[in-house]
Amino acid sequence: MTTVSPPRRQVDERAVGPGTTVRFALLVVLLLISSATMMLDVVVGFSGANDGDGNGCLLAAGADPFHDNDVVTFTHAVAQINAMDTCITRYEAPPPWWLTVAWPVLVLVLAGVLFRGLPAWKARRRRVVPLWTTDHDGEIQRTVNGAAAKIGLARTPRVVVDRAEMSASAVVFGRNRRPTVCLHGGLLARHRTDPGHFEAVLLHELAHIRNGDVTITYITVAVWRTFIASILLPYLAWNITEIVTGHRLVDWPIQAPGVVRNFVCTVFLVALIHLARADVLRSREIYADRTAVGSGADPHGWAVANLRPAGGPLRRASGSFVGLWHLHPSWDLRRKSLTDPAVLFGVPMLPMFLVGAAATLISSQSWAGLSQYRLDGQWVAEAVALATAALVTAVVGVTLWRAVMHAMVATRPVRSGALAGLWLGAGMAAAELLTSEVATHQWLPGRPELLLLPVLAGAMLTWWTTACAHLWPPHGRDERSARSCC
Amino acid sequence: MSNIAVRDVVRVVVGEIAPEELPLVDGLAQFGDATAVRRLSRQGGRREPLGFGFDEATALVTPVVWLAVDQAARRLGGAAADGAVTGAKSVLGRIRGRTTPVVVPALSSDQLAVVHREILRVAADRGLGEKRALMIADAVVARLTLGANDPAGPADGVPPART
Repeated sequence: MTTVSPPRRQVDERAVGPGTTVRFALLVVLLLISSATMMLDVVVGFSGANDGDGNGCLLAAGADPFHDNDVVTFTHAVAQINAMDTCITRYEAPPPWWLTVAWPVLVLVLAGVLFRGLPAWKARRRRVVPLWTTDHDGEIQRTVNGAAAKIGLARTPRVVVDRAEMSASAVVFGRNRRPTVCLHGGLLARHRTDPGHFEAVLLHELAHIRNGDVTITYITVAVWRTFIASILLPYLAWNITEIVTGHRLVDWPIQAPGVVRNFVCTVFLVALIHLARADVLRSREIYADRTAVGSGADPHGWAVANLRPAGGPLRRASGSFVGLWHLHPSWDLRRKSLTDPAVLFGVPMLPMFLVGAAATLISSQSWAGLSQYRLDGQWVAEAVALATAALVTAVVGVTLWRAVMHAMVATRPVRSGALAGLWLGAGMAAAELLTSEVATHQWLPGRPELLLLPVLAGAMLTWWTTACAHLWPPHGRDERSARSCC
Repeated sequence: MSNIAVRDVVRVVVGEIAPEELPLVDGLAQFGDATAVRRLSRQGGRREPLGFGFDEATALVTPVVWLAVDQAARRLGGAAADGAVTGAKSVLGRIRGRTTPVVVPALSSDQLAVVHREILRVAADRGLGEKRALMIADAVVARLTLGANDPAGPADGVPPART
């Protein structure tokens, strides 16, 4: 005789906000603050203020940042703080404040223009045509209308065809209120031969519209591309030119830590933003998959051969690493998520690390920019720290609260959250090492053990948040909604 | 038998065997042969936000016919003389956004057999079944044998393709 285990209860993933909007917001804030500080660096370099490196007044104060360690240099500076202030005011004045603020504003304006122009640009580049030009009998349009009604859209979005694209896929672009679904030529060819796949793809794209993914995704795309073109490339070009020409270098061995750290920090920023963005987009794909299947899509539409070659542990590890950079989850995970949304309620470690790193970068760059304008008083410092903490708490809090709710409804043990916090803290500590906050002219900080503090603080934050979520379970409408799939 | 443009062979054969792929052929026909072949040779599609993520091209007839016939045209020598544009003419064509389509010259029986084998090979690479591959190869060879004399697709007077 066999015993049948009771079906595991599942949580409706829509019962709680996914928190992806605030994660996108964190990235946009990071990009805007980085725009200001990176270009401040360039403007100061061009203007010749700070002797190009900001060490002139330190030398005048009796400090020797090139030979003493950071603690001794800092002590000299503090001992001569009034003279330092006078020297900085006279010889190392920063550029006008509006010039620093202008860069993030410029990024926002250009991103706005790009966001508005992206749909037209995509349509032109792909040479798309309206659906009716290829759908002579109107059958595909009827399928689209039916799918839009199934998914719950008030009106059918505009549909175009990229006839020369062979993949049996589609994409949605534009904005939430005016989306465009673009069907690929390879998908149209399967409309009659594989209607299940056709409808699955269509419902997936319409699900993105219903879930409100379009605007936020393309705002992030626009801000990211604008940042690369208007900030990152000029910044890198200027820095490389300065290094190659030797304009700012007094003594390479002594200045190497700062120069290398600056470069590594820039690479780290780019990787962080790409990885964090890809992680958020992957979760949106799983939401769209589940919405599509919930609206009647045939799960066989996701029956795609696993193209990843089998191999040993090294190969699998490298495949997992590559997967982190992809905008779509693996097909195995997508298929599994169709029946079990557990992945949407997990607390993955890499995103925690990235959030921690982003928090430190936002905080330290804000501080560095404000201190140039003598705005680094206690209240300002606390305001910056609080604003950053609010963003991080929102991201981490939503993630942990969802995990606790899922564990409770699915009758699984609730984890303490401390491990996630260690990763959060590790991200903060790693970014500290790259921002010249704890080590300026040396490779490592004088007291590296202090980097354990943010790690422990991260663990405390997540442990406490998890405990609160456990004591404050969902109730009322949320609870009924959460259990509706049970 | 006279010359026939690769894109005309593709259109006729796809129209016979897989008419549902004709929009795909029309889409590719907007581009020059080099661009079309590059798109058809691409193994993965674009990875873009909010796409379905199914980047692989499915087992389609169009890439099999276009790639095999294009390769045959170039390898068997006629393409350079009749269709492939070189030097200043090519540059001018690119600037103006137009190039002359690649043309398959008149082929001997042995050369047609080579094309037949090439189609079977490409079809197998692209995941098509043996029976369907044979059907495609036969249709292509028939089309090439008839060449431009067949009213369905003359090569002469073929409008230049957009790059």
